[in-house]
Amino acid sequence: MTDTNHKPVEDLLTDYDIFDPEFVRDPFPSFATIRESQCPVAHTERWGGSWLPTRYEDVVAIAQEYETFTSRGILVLPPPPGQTEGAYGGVAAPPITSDPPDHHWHRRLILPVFAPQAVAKYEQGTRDLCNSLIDAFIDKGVADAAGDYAQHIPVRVIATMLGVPLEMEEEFTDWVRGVLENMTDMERRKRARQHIIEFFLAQVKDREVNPRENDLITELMNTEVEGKKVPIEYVLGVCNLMLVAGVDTTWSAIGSTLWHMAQHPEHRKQLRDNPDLWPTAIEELLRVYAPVTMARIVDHDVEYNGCPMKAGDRVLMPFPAANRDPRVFENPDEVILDREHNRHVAFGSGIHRCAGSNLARLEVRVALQTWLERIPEFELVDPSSVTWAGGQVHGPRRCMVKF
Amino acid sequence: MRVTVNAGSCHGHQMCAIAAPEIFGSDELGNAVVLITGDIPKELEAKARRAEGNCPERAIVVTE
Repeated sequence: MTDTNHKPVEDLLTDYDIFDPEFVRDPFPSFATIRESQCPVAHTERWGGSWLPTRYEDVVAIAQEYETFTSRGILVLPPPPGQTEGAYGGVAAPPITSDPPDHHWHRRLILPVFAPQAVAKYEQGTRDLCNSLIDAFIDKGVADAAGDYAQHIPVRVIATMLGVPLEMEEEFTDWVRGVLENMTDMERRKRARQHIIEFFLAQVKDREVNPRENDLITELMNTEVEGKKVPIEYVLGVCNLMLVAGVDTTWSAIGSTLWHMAQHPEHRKQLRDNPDLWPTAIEELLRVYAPVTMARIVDHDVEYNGCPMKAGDRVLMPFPAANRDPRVFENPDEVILDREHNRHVAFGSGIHRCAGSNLARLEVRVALQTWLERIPEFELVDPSSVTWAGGQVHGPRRCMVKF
Repeated sequence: MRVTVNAGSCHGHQMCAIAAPEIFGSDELGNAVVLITGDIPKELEAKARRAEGNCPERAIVVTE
């Protein structure tokens, strides 16, 4: 198995490796090669095996066809052996891991929390947080835009929403990285998941004895469906989702947009001269720097675009690849802040559209606006020293800038 | 010009409301609602088309 996973890639169409260091750093040339080939849905035997559609049309079709392409597995790798067994086996990450019919109520209960009018109340707190992070390094003239800034924003916003201690930020971040970044380390993944679920179980138990108000964990615990309290597996699962899906993803998007702005003074100026452009500009940055690739599990044997997919096969949905398809986006690799038509799928497509998209968008905008107000001129210290995470979530992890 | 949203296709991306906040809003779940149910004022027609062209679910119908 190890040999299969680590041998050099010979043919992207039949042997791609999403954990190859070059692919992790910059997957876009590989996506383009596959997309423009005779075989735009590639396949690999590596890492448990998977299919990789690269055209917008295919990625969207797979996202829409939830009966064939199920959410029984949504990560780009199979789970560590034994993860689905034991006391926490019943805890998933609803609604992202749910299929209809349960998906409907799993999602219905959390959508109101993330509607645009509901997340607006987090804007000022996020701005204050961004300012306090900048206060800590602005006099130094140098900072790690990923590690000193982006990384701290979503985790604290999510912790505030859930009502869990902000002082545990570092642990939360470590657990999330264990699940989404160091994915090939099965033991670490398993441990990280265990920590997350044990932590939230303790939070629930504590609230049973010491009731609280105005936090999402309490709200979830008190939610009823058809006159009955929702099961604890659902409460723990949503908490798991909020942490795992709400942190690494948004911080990657914030980091990527800062990495971009550090290299594009003309875009910084464009936003300064025309503040009305912000909402459109954020959508364009989300298109080009979409961080997330999801996965689906094939329900029954099916031929998709000539590919013989078997029940149980894993199909990846690289939204970053879909968003750079020249069939849909003119000059797809170029950031055009006032792009007129932009049907990007950074937040997915269909019934699993990212439930937290409005919050993520708010965080990316506020983080970038606050940075540009305080630090209007900045540049990369050394472009070659920027490090990236990839696979499930793509974004910079160390991005030194000077100002 | 009039606009409608196909509720069966809308999955709450909110990209219409970003492109044309005068015309589109959000319900309690974050799905799109049309704020102008009658004729779209001339000066907002370009924005309506823009919203149509930004919907990833192709849920917006513009009729002239």
